[in-house]
Amino acid sequence: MPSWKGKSRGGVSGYKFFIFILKYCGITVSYFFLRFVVVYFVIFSPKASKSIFYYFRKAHKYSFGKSIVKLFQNYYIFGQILIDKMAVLGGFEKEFTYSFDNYDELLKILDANTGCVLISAHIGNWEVAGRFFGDYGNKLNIFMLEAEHERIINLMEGILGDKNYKIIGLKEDLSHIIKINNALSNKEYICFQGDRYVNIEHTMKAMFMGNEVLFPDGPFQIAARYDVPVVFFFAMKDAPRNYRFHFFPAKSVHPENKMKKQDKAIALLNEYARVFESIVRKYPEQWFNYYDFWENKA
Amino acid sequence: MNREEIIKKINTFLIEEFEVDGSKITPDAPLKETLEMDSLDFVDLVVVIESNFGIKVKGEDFVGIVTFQDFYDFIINRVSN
Repeated sequence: MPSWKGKSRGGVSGYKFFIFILKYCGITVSYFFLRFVVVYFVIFSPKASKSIFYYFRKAHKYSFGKSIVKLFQNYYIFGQILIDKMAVLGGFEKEFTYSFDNYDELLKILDANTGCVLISAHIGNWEVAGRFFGDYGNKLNIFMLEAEHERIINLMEGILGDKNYKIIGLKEDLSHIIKINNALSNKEYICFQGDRYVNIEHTMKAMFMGNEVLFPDGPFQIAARYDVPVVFFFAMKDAPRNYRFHFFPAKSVHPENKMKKQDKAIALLNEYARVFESIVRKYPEQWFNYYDFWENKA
Repeated sequence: MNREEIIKKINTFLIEEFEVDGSKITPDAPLKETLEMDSLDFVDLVVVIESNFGIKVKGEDFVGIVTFQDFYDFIINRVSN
């Protein structure tokens, strides 16, 4: 069965090139060069292109022509978002504006000092959000698959400086479980991506965009095991230089409402799938899941 | 709590949490295989240790734990410390 293999597109040399352009020519010129890269990726990444084309064609039911246009847009926005990420990490954050949905509700949860599980997705630019957690960022732990970029992370940190959040990597020896537990015990926040799995044995089914599909069970099963609030969040590019952060505190479970772990995990996944679908429908070009997600019908 | 009480408490929560037949829990039996633990069960184990004994575990704590006896010794050691 197809699953995501844990590696993101884009090599170190590509990042280096864009960091150079960004540094000396600015964001607009970087976007210009991106157009050539997009054409390259559409042609030379057939598997990824096929997956995204299929997503527009089958999930959004766009026509053939519109799906082709959206495919190019998807790569272009993905490139813009990578450039924006480098720009924000590199200190150009004032080049952008930011708006928030339900920010007060999020702050209430974070200020309650209970710890919190945040579940996002490979959509929009979730990494820029870390920058705007302010002092809360010191308590933010991002869970990542180890293969996702070690070289790229090192490059970004080397050139652009440290992030203000911590990264917990998936490890064979399960040491990540201890780190997650200790972070939540210390009333910190853990952020997962809920839309991508690497092992089909660790999946759960949910209705999404009219299909019953597989999601990773880890984020939802872990959230179900701790009596902490759960928040779904997405940082979306809603204008060329504006990011909108959407926060959705989970309503289907509550720390005081005692449910069985499995029921809690299912309720969380179903709520996540509903919320995520509303975001995907609003920003169809910003979901960057370049593998056969739709082939994995349950 | 003395040693026997701690072992009794451990066995009780392992039987409840992992729905394992109590007769399979013997000091020499392998912990992971007997409880059929995967990564999520490991989360459960870490959570129940913390909630039952107030012990914070570290990654390296589990390196030498193979049998139930190793697990009992680890908890007893940490509780008495």
